[in-house]
Amino acid sequence: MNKMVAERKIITSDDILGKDAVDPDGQILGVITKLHIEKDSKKMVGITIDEGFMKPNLFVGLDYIKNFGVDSVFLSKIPTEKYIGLKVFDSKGKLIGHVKKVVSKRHKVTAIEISKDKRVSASDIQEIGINVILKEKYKIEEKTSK
Amino acid sequence: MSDKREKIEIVSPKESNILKFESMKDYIGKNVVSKSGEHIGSILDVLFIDKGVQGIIVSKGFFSRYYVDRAYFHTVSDKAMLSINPVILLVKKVVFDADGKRLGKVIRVKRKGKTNELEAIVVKKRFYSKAREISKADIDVMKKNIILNKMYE
Repeated sequence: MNKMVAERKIITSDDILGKDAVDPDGQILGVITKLHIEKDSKKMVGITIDEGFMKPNLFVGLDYIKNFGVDSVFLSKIPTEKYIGLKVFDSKGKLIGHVKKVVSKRHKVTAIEISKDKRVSASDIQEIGINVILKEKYKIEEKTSK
Repeated sequence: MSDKREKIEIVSPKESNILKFESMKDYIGKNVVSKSGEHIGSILDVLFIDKGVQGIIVSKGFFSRYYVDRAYFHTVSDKAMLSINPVILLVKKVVFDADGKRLGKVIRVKRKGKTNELEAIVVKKRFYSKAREISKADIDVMKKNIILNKMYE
């Protein structure tokens, strides 16, 4: 019986709904609440993740799903929205601000906005993990308002 | 931290400027941040040997305390920034196998001596279930949680 389950190629919505969505860092983003199916092609196009209280639901397209696992669904890319609100420290631990916006290109972070007019380029970021740590000689680009 | 050092009388054969010295008060209570930016506790004590700082004792919560050697410091300024993510903090992280199966939580970490070099993790699903040891070679991702690179029965 177990062998049959292991070899099963087709899964049902029951095998996906209610499971944890896990990003490539291993962080549990939330619980899968919806499956999205395109009416015309009758194909599945993505999932909705309920990120919990006070957080907006997150739609993830099928291209960003790595695999549908036994107890969880692995994503292949980290949703950049996840970084919003993280604390930004300089290399000495001084709090510079919080991430307000993430600028990305093809799901690769190119810059982060700390406030409306302050931006730090990805090349000045040492680490994005639980918080953001900047390199020793980072530069804050200030936008000039018209 | 101001301790009005400029008004203190100096008794020393060579030093006349004590303002450049660091004070122990500047260290104690300071937040400690891992390489990934995680707040991992605060400095409870500073340990010295031969008149030099050797390491710090970090306190996290009421019961968890650990010593971090100065070799693992990056900078100590506004916060004590470490150059490592201490592997002992992997305890309680969730472990998934490559097929997304939840294997349980890390209950113990096996290291090379007392260094930060990981050898294996010991994972348990439930209180009464049997613990299993997973070697470092089988770990794919070790960040917020742990993802393995192979499937487990």
